[in-house]
This record gives sequence, C-alpha cells and structure tokens, in this order.
Amino acid sequence: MNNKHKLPLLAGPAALALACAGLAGGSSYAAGTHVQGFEAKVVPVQGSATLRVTQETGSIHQAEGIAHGTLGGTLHLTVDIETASRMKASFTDRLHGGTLSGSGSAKYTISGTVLHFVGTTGVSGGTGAYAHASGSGIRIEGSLDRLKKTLTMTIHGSMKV
Amino acid sequence: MSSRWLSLAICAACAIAPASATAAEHSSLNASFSPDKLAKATTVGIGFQLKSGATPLTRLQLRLPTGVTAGFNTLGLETCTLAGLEARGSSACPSNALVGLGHAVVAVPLGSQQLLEPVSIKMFMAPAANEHTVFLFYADGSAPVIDRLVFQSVLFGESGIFGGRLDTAIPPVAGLPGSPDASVISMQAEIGPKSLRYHTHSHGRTVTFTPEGFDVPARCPRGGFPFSGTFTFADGSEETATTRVSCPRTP
Repeated sequence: MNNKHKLPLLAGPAALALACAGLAGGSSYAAGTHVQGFEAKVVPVQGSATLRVTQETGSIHQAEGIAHGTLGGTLHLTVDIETASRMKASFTDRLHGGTLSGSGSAKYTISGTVLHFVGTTGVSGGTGAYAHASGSGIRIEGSLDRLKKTLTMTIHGSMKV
Repeated sequence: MSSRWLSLAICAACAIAPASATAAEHSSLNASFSPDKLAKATTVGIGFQLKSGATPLTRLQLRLPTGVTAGFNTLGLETCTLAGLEARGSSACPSNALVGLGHAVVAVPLGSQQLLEPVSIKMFMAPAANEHTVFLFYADGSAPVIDRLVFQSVLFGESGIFGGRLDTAIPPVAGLPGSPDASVISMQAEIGPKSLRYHTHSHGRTVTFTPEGFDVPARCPRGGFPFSGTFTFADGSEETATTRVSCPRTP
C-alpha cells in the first residue's frame, strides 16, 4: 500500500480537532471520510482565514496568516492586482501532514477602506498527505482592510485528496 | 444685469479667445508617473486637450495600464456621496475620500469668440455601486458659468494591455443666456498626489499621513505603460488619443 495517499490528519486527536474546528457544522474533513488506500476522496473545504499583508512589490502583495476550519494551517497568499476589477492569487497552506497549494481569481470592488472580493480557487497539489490533492471552483469571498492591511476570507467547496 | 453677466464682467481669471484658437486639430492625451519607478506606489498624472471646434464633450473614457491600480493601497479610505457633493460641495466629503486634484478649462461660447473659464477639480472615492468602484469629480469654477459641477466616474476592468477604464459621463454645461452649451476642453489631474493628507486614529492619537498612490507593476510592458482616452462629443462623434509612460531606466 502506498502510504502517500493516506492522510495523517484523519486519525487520532488531530482529526478530532480539525473536525471540531470545521465551520461546516456538518460534514467535515475528518468525520466524512474513510481512508482506504489509493481511492481519491472528495472532502469538503470550508473555513476562514485572517491574514496580514507582509510585503508589497508594485501590484503584487504577499499576505500570511492563520486558516481555520476543515483545513486550517498557516496560509500564505500571493495576490496580483491585475486589473481595476480582477485579481489573481496563489496560495500555500502549511498543514499538519503536508502543504496544499493552488491558485484562483476574484472580482473586486473598492469602497473606502474596504476592498471586497468574490471568486473561486483551485487546488493543484501539494506535499505529503496532499501531494495528489486537486479541486476547482472552490468559492472564496472576503475583504481587505486597506488601512490596517488585514485580509479576512471564507472558503467553501470541496477537493479530492 | 443678471448675476451671471455680472460674474462674467468681473471674471478676472477668464480669458477671451477666438473660437478656433483654443485647441489643436486632434485631441491629445498625456500621462506621467511620479516617481517614475517600477514596483512603487506613484502619483498618476493624466490630462487631455480636445481638438478645436469640437462640440461639447459628453463622455470621457480613460484607460489605464494593466497592473496600475490602487486596490491594496490607502488611497481613498473613506467615501463621499453624489448627493452630498451636489448639496454641500466638497466640504461634504471627508479628507480621507479625496484621491485626486487638478484643473480644467471650460470654453464658454460668446458670440464669435469663447470665454475660457478655469475650474479646479477634486476627485473623491464614492461608495461602490453595482459591483464597480466609483469616483466622483467635483468641478468648482465660481464664475461666470460653472459654479459647481459634479459627475460620476465608474471604474471598469479591462483586458489586454489595459487594466482599467474610468468611464465618465459629462453632464451638459449650460452656457451664457442665448448661447450654446459650454464645454470642457482640457483637463490636467493628479491621482494620489503627494499633497494629500489623511487622518486616522491610533491608540487615542490622530495620525496624519500621505496616502499611497497607484501601484506600478514590477515589470514594464514593451514600449511603456499605455494610456488611452476616448472622447465622445455631443454630435455623436468620437475620437481616441493614446500616450505611453516610458519604462523607467532603473527599477
């Protein structure tokens, strides 16, 4: 059996903690999945994150913070403000058991202090337990406080692991 | 004597010019970055001069280069409403809503000649509408024609070499009694100028700072950063002018 496809998160206290932290209130990453070897499982991805902008280089902005929910971990975002209404972003989420990465895009508007965005992201893989993770159309929505440079977002969708 | 004619008589800042002597054969556009550096926040200077003999300007579409945005920056931290501006002028707007300053010239037909009235321009952040970022322009001329003029500008996303389009409907500007409408013939503005001062509160203290301007991308497109202005006139005709901000020599 190839253990790479097993998810260490799904067993033991860590799984319980993640299940409890899930925002879904119902199915969660840990509770809704039975790991049986190679078969890819669809798991919910729901949660929130609060990040702080750490570096800005022209139209490219780096942000880092903590994600909560069915994934959790330390989330690093690279946001490229491409146009007056759209931005694209790539992310890396450092979780217990590996890292998860992907990219997406969102439409945004500015209204005073608040930049509000809505879009979708995909999961393109990762390392460790998430080496074969994939997904698309995961909804993201959030806002940036342009003065405090803090970003909050929610995420809702599913992915294969 | 009507108050308008009285204003006309005492308009010290105005100039009289032959109707054909105020502009060139084609409309032109200019743009600049200050500082002109890649990957830095900058003041965007933008202006236009309309062709001579044009009927009044009714719509202005300014296209900005890809990546030149203020999304994550501190420019325009509060908003100002159209109704407030119309009712009470710029004093209705918080200083943290001011995003740009400039001036324009309005041509007022006066027989075979035209009166050139200078007006000051302020640009404010407005509440977003229909999922678009919105700005308001406030023109203050005081005499003889323009007392207070407010118009709304909606920022749309673009694709290709342009990242944004600032679309502005210019309302009719009534001219002198018995004369055709007046028309904006030139404008020069700075978005995110260094002279702006914003105020915020932190730990019980008021903090004053200069907001960041627009971001300039880390990479310059070949040939420079493109700008475009499309001018629509009252007779339905349209003209487009383009310009570029040259790539800085060093990042």
